[in-house]
Amino acid sequence: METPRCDAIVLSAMAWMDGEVAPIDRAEIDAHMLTCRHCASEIAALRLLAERLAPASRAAVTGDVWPAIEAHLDRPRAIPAGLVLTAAAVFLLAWRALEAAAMDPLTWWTRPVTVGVAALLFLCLRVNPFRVEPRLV
Amino acid sequence: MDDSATVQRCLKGEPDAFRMLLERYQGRALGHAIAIIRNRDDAQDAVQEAFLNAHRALHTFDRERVFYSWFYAILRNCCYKLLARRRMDAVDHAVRLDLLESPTLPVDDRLAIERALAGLSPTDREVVMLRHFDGLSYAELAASLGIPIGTVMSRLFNARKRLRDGLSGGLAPAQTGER
Repeated sequence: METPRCDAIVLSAMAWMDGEVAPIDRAEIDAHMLTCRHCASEIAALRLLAERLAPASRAAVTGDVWPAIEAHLDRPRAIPAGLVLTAAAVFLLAWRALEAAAMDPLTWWTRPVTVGVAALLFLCLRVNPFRVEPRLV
Repeated sequence: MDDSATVQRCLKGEPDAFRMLLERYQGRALGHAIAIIRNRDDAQDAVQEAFLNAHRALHTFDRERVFYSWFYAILRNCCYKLLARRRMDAVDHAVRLDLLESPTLPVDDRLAIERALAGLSPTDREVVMLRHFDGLSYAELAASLGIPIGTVMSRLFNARKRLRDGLSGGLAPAQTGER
């Protein structure tokens, strides 16, 4: 009959079967197996499976990925688009701030704020408005 | 020349050294990637990406470690990312993978095992193949899969149970997406 201890016993029995150290002592497992048909049949089935798989080995696979990789190794890594956009936004913001500083004191703050909001949106949404969506072309 | 010395040469900027590493491990990596992804072309893409990532991260490689186990973590990451990107949920049981070879096993038996393996989820297939066909110990499995040994035991047990079910008749439903 299956007991709450069965799951742990089966896992430990499997570990012993695989030649590994198990958390549960071998003697306890053997004693349990004598009285629990469920665990005994589970382990017998695992042993059968291992025997069935034993004659097979992983097939050798051949392939040459070097040509494709070599082409990439020579190429300098592309700068991420997000970084370019962020740099552009910061540059524009700084430019507008400098421009606005020389303007009429009543309106100087409006333009940087507008550009700032646009830059923030740009960064948060991470949407490139100039990107052409290939699916639509 | 051992892997550690080859990595050292790569870091010094010798272009042939990385090629040496790649030629040493690309077949093995391709086999592992096919076993996870179940598609040769996609597996090839994953292997390429993994080698490129490894090349970029080579300076982080601890030369006390085994190169392939470090690389395997990168490779499986690329494989699962590619699986997620392509949403390969549907397993085509008709596709023959030729993952295994055996001079003594009858062809029908080998094909039955391959079909049952194909019916497993990528994570189940991975753990079973690493254990049975690469002979990894539980500690090595834990290191390769980035999980504790207790999880290795339960994952291996469940994977074997599903493989057993697959071999004894109806194939176990594939469960993709889990890791």
